[in-house]
Amino acid sequence: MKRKSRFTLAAVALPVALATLLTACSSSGGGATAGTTDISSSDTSSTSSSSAPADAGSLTVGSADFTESALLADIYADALLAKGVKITKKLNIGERAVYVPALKDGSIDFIPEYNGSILPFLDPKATAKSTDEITAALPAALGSDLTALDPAPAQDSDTITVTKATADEYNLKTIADLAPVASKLTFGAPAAFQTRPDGLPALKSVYGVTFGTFTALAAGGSVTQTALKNGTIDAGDVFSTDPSFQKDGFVALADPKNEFAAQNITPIVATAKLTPTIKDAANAVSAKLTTEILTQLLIEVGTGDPDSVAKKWLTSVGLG
Amino acid sequence: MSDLPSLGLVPGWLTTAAHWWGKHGLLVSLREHVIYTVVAVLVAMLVAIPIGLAVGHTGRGSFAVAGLANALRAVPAFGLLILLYVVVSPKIHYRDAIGWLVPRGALGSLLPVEIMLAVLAIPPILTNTYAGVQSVDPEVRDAAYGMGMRGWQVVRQVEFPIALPLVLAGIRSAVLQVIATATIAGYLPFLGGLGYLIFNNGLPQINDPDVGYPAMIGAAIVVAVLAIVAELLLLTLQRVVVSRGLSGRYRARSLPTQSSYVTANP
Repeated sequence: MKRKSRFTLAAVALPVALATLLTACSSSGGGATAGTTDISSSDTSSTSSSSAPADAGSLTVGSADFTESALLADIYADALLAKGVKITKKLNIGERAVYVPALKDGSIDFIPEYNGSILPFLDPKATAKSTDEITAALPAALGSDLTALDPAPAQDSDTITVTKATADEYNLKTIADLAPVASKLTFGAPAAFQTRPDGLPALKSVYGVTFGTFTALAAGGSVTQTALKNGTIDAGDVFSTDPSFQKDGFVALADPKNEFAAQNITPIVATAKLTPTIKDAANAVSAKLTTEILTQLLIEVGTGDPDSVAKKWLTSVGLG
Repeated sequence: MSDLPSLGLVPGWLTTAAHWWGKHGLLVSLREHVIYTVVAVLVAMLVAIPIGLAVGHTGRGSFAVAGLANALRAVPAFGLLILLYVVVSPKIHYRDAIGWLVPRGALGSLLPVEIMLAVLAIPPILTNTYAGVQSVDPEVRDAAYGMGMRGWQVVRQVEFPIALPLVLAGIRSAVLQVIATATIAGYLPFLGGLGYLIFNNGLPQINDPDVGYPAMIGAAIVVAVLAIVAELLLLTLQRVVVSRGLSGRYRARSLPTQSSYVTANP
């Protein structure tokens, strides 16, 4: 009987473990569930609501389903809230193909975007690369229903990045400096980098750089960092707000010929909901937001709550 | 999502020769996938079967092993893979290829993948092995001791053969899980597998009619076929290795029938 009871225990433990596994799976796929936070006007401090102009307006603020987008949405939303705008947050919605229709049908009214990504999404034939070119091209692509506010200096763009040691060894400052040595180097980037127009083809045509070896790896994040640090790859495709630029001293090679489009943080708003208060408050935030600040804020967020980091920063720069 | 290339492109994609040959073609990917799977399951068997036999035979530690094995089942594979890569790969400085098994530069990536897959494969083999041994009829075990067998002889000649159908069932479910999970191997540098066509190359350019959605579905179909073929092979193996005394799989004429008894013993 003793043995049999142990076997029964295992039989009971199995479904429990399976249930745990299912829970683990569904929580790791949490990107699909959009968290909705309603901030009613009663939540706002009495000072901000009493000092608010009557026409401050109301907005539903959305974000894509990754930390940086949620952090940016919190930053803009909290700054607008401080100016008396009634804010409803619908964060972590999904990818561009999901939230752009939501902007158009009025489910959300405001989302922080990357100007060099939203432009080709709306107009696949767009060729604008620099911040100024994109800013000029955006209004036509957005149409009259949506308006782009001022782009922030902060960018989250692709960069060709090497370690400090590699940069020193080959005296690398810009991507062009790679041309004479690239054949000895291994380059790591997402698989699609091999074929996308601003990937390997542009490296070759714009800068004359052809790497000796290419290996595909997970986009951005810890795999690329680790592979760079341990020397598995010599150069990698790293996003410019990656914490490793401050933590590991990675060097992003300058891109003077705009191989990669600028990716300035640019709020997109439903034109019908836009008030002068919203415009001024959002532009004031954008003016202060640099890549270094955004990177630092992302490090502070870590895996924690973006909203508290957003509020703290806004207070420190007098916008909260 | 109505913009996705049509599912109707999948048969055409699968029957295009260029998608089978080439650096990241289906054949190379399939070969990589099978290597990742076989290595991981063999490692898991080497770890899990001895422990399972020991626990089942002695009855000691079954609670701890059941808890541990079931806890391992809850480990999220992708998180474990990235964690292992960050921790393990900086310690690997070997860059050359190892025969046909490890491509150049890939050892630091392959070890995390194999450890992650083995961690997934251990629980079903381990729990099935000790459950199989524990479910051996105590009278059979007593009879073995009564015949003068020693402990390890009982394990090797009685308990393991009797537990074998359950052990093999555990290996089958481990193989299925590993085949499914090995699709994430391509996230690490210098590795591929069928998942390369699904996650690495397909997902970021999902709207592309050549490497996007049709390739993802096509590669997923190959993963599914591989899983079914592996299952059938292991079932065949089970028919061969499991004692006929257990499976009751006798050829009809090798057993005396009821009627032959009747005629033989009037």
